Amino acid sequence: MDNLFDVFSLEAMDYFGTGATREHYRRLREDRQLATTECTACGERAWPPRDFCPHCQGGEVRWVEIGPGATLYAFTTQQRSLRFAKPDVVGLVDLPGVGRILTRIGAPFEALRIGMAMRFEPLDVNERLVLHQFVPEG
Amino acid sequence: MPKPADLVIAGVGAVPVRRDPEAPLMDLAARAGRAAVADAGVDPREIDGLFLGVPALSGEPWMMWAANLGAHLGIPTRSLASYENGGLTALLALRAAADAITLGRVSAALVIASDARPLFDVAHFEAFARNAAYTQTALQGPVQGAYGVGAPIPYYAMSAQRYMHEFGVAAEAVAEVAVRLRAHAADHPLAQFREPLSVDEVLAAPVLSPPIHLPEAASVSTGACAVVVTDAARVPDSRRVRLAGWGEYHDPSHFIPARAPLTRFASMERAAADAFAAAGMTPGDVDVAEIYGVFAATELIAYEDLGFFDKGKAAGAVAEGRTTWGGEIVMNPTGGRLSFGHPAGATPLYEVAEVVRQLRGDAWGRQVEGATVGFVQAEHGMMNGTAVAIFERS
Repeated sequence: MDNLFDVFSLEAMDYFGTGATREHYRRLREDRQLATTECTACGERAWPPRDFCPHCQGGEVRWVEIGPGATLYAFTTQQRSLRFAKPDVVGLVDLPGVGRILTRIGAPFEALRIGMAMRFEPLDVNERLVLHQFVPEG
Repeated sequence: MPKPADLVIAGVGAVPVRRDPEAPLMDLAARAGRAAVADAGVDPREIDGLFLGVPALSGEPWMMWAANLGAHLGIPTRSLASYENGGLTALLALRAAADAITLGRVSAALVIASDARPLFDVAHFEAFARNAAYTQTALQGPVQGAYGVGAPIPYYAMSAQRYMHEFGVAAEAVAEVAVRLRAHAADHPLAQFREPLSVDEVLAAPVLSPPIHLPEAASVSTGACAVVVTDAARVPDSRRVRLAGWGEYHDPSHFIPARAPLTRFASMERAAADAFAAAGMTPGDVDVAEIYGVFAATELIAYEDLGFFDKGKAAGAVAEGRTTWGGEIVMNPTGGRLSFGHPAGATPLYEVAEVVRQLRGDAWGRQVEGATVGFVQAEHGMMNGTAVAIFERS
């Protein structure tokens, strides 16, 4: 079903019309890298990435690679995903210096525990779209 | 913040909350509005403001909903507009009415909210998903939205999981919330789910997103509710339920906060603190409360963050009967979102209507005896923004 509605999803991803969103997905697709923006004035990292700083409202940011290590904060599944086939395991992981981010989890629900060490890996949805997912370390 | 000393909810009106609409939403809204005007006992010609919550969840085309409904009702006004921000929608319409009266722009306002949750046919899931993928992705933003979460159930599930983990709350204790709320709904003429429910039945029910069982989730509902807001001087003593305090706070996050826990929510703490400060009251003054708990664990978190119980103690309070008739406060006498039903855009006005009836002493025999102070709360996103209204019998 991915191809059926990815065109809509990609349009929606440009919802805020910012270069930061496009650069985020370009880095995932071409560089296989998870990154976000860091304010050159206050040093805070935003999530999701933006072309300005939501913490101090500064207008200058730089891209920084984040992860790959993270800690599993919470996880669940959903019966019907708008993107992924069952079983769709979603979770929240804590990235040092960034915060808590929503992610797909590349492991069965039963194998997961709160506090687990996790690691970023790129997830190829199709040739145009790569998302981040996290899998248990080791 | 100025204390809105003269504002009263003079009348309330509603249609029953049901899964299937009895009529188009415009008609349900008009019926609820007309009932509220009749209940207030004011001359319909005195209504000079119309403040509407739009049925945003319903999928109804709601552009110019206010103009359309105003014309349908035949009520000329000095102020006419619709309001929307997720679960806060109806309370924001009420706040706009209160502000307009405070500013002297309007003397008597009718506030109406209606909503429905469209069901998709499983056989046509792909067609549903095609539309939903766009709207949900846009709704949740360009990064969060890419992960395919439709209804926000998984988000609340992760909040519930984490809350149960951190505070050692067992699945049975969470299920008990759903059971308690079902008992509250049993005698409520407007409630959607009134048949008895047991903890065993909750835990044996299908799991939506672990750890949430079906009866621990707000339902698919349609409804419409309305209130009349005016100055106390315009109505008799029996219709004087004062808006004693208001609080509202919006955290700069949408669904998943990047830097805050999912087990306590600043928007609830701050909105409640501001409302209590404005009213000159404390949580201990409240006799009856309607809480926007859309899942069972969320309900417990809300009881705590709003100031009624210490962190991690709400489940024990529910189990000990402290949140029902005979306890220190009656929480969700309607049955709450889980059993009363949850037409999201209209829900906060149903909460207000129940509290007003309780404070007037005409709650269909389900009276919280001697109630003088009532509390209403609603939220948008996943408690990213919260509004609280405190009411007092004059």
